Amino acid sequence: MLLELDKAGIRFGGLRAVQDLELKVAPGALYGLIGPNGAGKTTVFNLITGIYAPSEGDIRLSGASIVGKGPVAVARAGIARTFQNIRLFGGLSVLENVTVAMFRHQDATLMEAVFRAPRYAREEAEATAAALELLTTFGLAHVAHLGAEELPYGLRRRLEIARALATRPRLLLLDEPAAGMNPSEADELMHLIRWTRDTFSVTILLIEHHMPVVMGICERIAVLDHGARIAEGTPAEIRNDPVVIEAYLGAEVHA
Amino acid sequence: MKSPLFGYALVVLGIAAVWGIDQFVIPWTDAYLTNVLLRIGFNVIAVTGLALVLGFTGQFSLGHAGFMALGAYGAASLSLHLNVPPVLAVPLGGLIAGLAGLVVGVPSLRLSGDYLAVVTLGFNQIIIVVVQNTPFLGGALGLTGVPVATSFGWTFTWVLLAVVFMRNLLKSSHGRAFAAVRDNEIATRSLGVDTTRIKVTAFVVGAFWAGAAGALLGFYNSSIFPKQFEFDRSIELLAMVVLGGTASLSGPILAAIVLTALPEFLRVLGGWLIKACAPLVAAGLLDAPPEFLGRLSQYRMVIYSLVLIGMMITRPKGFLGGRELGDVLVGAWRRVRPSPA
Repeated sequence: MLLELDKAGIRFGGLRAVQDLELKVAPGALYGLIGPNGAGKTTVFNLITGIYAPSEGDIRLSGASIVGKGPVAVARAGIARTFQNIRLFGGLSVLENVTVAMFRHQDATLMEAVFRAPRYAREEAEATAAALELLTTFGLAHVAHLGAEELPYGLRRRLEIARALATRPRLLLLDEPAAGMNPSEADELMHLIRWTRDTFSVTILLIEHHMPVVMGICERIAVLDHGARIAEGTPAEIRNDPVVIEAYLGAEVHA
Repeated sequence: MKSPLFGYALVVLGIAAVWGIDQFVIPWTDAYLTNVLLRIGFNVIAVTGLALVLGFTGQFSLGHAGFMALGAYGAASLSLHLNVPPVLAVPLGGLIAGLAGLVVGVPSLRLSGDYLAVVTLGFNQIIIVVVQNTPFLGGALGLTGVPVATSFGWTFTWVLLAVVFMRNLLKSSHGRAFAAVRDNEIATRSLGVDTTRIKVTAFVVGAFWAGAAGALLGFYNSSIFPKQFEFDRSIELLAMVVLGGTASLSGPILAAIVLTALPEFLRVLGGWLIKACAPLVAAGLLDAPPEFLGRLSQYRMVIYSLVLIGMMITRPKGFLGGRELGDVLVGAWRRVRPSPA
């Protein structure tokens, strides 16, 4: 398994935001994490990426525990993410938002950068070329030199995914990538996500609210409610699971 | 990318020009004007450092004058007690300040915003109190007998190096990392970039240039006083960055020039206004020119504050905002003369 959550949980005071969570994401999977508002989905992402440390259980990436590592170390281990409330670098251009994601793969020191040393120049040319290629595949090449803040909403979401991919991750976490999009935009984005998985051979775990969309592209889905996993399976299994239907629609009333 | 050799050649040419002016223009220049130019130079060097820390990395430092003090006292002591030539003592003063930046930065840059401001303010105060109570450093009376070595040539060689260094740094992969920390720290960490390390780096580099500026100042007057590096100087430098434009390098430099020259300008303006009052006095409309005109330059702090308040209301990102002077001028030129295409 690429990612394994083993009875992972976290408490905030008396609140068990996530409890006894079991999750197994195979390499190359396109895995969906769904659940009603407040079910703890983003908290799961924050646990995986090291923003929170789990109060119990273990989280493993390719078999090695990543518990206790901070966000920087987790990112370096190969996990990249996007955020529910988009977090781009507003003072940088679209292109720079992507090249900055390659910073940890660049070895040139500060002094080499200031003196424009050969190694710096080479790395910089490589990073720019790779970033432009990535922007082209994401349909953002024509806005590469605009400020990130000038982009319309949909393109910002795409840019955030492109930026995450620029870190060359093994696992990509997408937090509600289609939030705020109309159904056709969401549909288009989901095709882009599947295409990304196939092209970059990266494993994707995504949180999403748009049910048709998740059902359409994810191969496996876990359903979270009140911090606990209530179902796991293929989209067809999830769709007909009475527990899931109850969580989303409420229990049937027997008169 | 252009060959760096072109840039190196430009810097060498620039330094040659600076020394040309030093040799052939300065000897015939009014000593008062030269004094103002040199003080502009010290502030420009110091403000490039603060522009990196505050403007580009978004770390609210209120203790920049403390690093200037370390550079000034460090370099002067090396020169007085160990006979280190000033040419070497200036970069060493910068290194001493940079080292202090590392010591202060590592624990305190885990803090952010208001907390960091309080820590750096305290640091500035500690430096002043320590100097005031150290006889070795001259105490409150100041350190005297420092060799006079700062000339126009040396000051502006350092100005040129500071500005080119900072420009190249900001327009590089490291510069992007600084801006990323400022714009969104959580997102920066999620990219595997160690934000604490980036902030400490900015702090150390900023402290180095403040220290170099302080050292040059120390070798200029033959004496240095703790009073020169108190909190109000940190505020003055802060005002330059905020007025000139956070996320801009040329903006703060421009503000450093204007704000350093401002009291001198007010003095001259006061003189003119007194002269302009002469006909009124002669006509019997006034007994004497208003007294405050003679003290106009003392009102600079009032003017600073008013300009700062006005700027916060009308242009919260500073005079140039996130742009550079070159872009603004090119933009204005294009508006005046639209291209034929």
